[in-house]
Amino acid sequence: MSIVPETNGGNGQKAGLASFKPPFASLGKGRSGTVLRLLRNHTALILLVVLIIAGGLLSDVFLTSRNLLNIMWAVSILGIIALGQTVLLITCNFDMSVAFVVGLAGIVTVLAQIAGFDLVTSMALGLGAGLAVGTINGLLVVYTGANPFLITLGTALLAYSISLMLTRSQTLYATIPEFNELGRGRLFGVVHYSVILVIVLAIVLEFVLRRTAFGRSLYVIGLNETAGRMSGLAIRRVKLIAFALCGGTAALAGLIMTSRTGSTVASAGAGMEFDSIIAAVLGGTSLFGGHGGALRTLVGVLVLGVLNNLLILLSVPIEGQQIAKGLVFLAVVWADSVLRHR
Amino acid sequence: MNWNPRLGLLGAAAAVGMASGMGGASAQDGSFSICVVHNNADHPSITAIVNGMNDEGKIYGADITYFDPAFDPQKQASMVEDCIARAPSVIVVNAVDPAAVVQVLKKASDAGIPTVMQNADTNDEGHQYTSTFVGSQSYDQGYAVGEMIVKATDGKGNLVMVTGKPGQFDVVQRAEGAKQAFADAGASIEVLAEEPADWSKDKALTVMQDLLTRYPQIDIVFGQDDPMALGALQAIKANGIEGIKVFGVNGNKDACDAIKAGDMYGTAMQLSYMVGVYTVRVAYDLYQGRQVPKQMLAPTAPVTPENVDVLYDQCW
Repeated sequence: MSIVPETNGGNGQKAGLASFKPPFASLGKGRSGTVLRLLRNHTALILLVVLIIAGGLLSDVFLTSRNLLNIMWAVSILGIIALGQTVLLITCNFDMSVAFVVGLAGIVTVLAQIAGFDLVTSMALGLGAGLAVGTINGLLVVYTGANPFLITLGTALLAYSISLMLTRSQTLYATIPEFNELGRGRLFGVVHYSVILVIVLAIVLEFVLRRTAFGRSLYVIGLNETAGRMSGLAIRRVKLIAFALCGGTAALAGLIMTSRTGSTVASAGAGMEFDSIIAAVLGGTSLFGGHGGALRTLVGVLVLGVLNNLLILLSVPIEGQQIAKGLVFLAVVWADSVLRHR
Repeated sequence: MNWNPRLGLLGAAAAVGMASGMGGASAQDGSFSICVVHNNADHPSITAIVNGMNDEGKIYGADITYFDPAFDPQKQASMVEDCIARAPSVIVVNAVDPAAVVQVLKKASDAGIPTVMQNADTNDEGHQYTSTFVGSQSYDQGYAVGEMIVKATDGKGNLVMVTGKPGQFDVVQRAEGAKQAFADAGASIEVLAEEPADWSKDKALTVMQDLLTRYPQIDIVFGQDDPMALGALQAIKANGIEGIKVFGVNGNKDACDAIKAGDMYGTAMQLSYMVGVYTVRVAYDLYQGRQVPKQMLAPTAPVTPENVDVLYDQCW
């Protein structure tokens, strides 16, 4: 195997802008290729291990069970959103409305409780609101062919406006005390229900992605939609389901957040649309579609959680925190475009 | 009840202030209209201000429109320009950034429209273009909380602060106010950390959890608004820790409930409804071409376990 990097883009093209490669792109051929392939496939896991080791060395409270369980509780909400986002990203679509679906779902649930509905019905209505927004996203993207990024930004504003109208910017409080168990309760008093939920959801989604026809069709659509259509996949239906699923998971996260904090806020999920994408890409899901997995996304989410935790445990100044997070984001996007696209 | 001596009383302010040359009514059609540009409409305190303005506006027959730039200083500037184009009687601005609004305030002044700064004032340069400031100042709120903390803890203890979005005006001012109160009282309160939770209750929960892990001995938590204080309280409860005194700012109903229940030890109540009411009144004075005071400070009421029963009705 040759270890000399190719300089002509591999197709005999002339040098020039067409064959511009980002830094280190020519690495990965030959023996160094195996190492890099390992790095690429498990970037998040390696990063997580490195952070955990660093955390354990630099802080003597990091590796306590209480701290680790806290980290998992803190990221369980983002994790659920990121799982839904992963399903969409695999098909090369985005959902930027998740942040405001989080708020909307919580508000709908609490309003239902205030209106007298019982616990299960109110939660079903909240989840339904998220599924509805997701379905609208899906219908708009599928039937107009427009950019999903822009469409979902539009529905985000719509969801936010509806939230504001419903609450009139007041804070609303859940009226059924059992509802709080969802976000705050622990199994056997140790592990939070929301943590168990996100792990179970990840395992179920992983199974669906790897072992079902539906799951496989997601990857095909992401990698080569034309080929998928040629081989008879119901492209539109699959995409619609993916969008609805993403809205549904965002709603579930919204329910958990509302139950955890005890009150509703229309902008409760602000920023989570970007965080969920970062977490998924960190875990190995490609922004260009066709790659990704549920368990990997969980690893990505954990990396973010550990990072946030360490920034406080190590008393990193606020400016440093913003820089650290920015660098992580840039590194993730670079790694995704370089290590995946050669 | 401990009124902060730094707050100017209405009488003192009226005696000292005189309006800038912003007298006359300038609505084209002669009716009383107010154009309001918030800093961020999605907050209960702003809802209270809006309620105050709407209720008082009915009495004066005011036609009030509201704009919300959601903390974006550029958007706020362009919204103020939209207001100028509508030629209202008075423009009200709650500055996202004191310096960013100066240019548009000048434009309003050039157009002959008086402006009222509400809750978040502009800087000295901007003052030459504005008629008055109505509101509570975040520095005074911070100071009030600082005084409450000193009283409740005998001036001793380890404190962590859970703040809003880093760099925002309220964040800086409330922190400085509290620290000045500690200094003025000669207290030995050690500020262990100031971590941002972006005014979010859930973020405050996770941030507080990490702070509890980091610092085994925390005595006082200062949440820069009530939602964050309550989020921090959730974290404290979830970890089964007792004996930490939590303070907030706003005077929300659930914060007052928490004080009654003994979970929180104080909040600096912003009389936001009254700020809205005063704003409409001073706007009407400006519309009528009257002189108005330079500052109309709404009092900040420190709510403590001792006085919460008396003040409870005003909690919002």
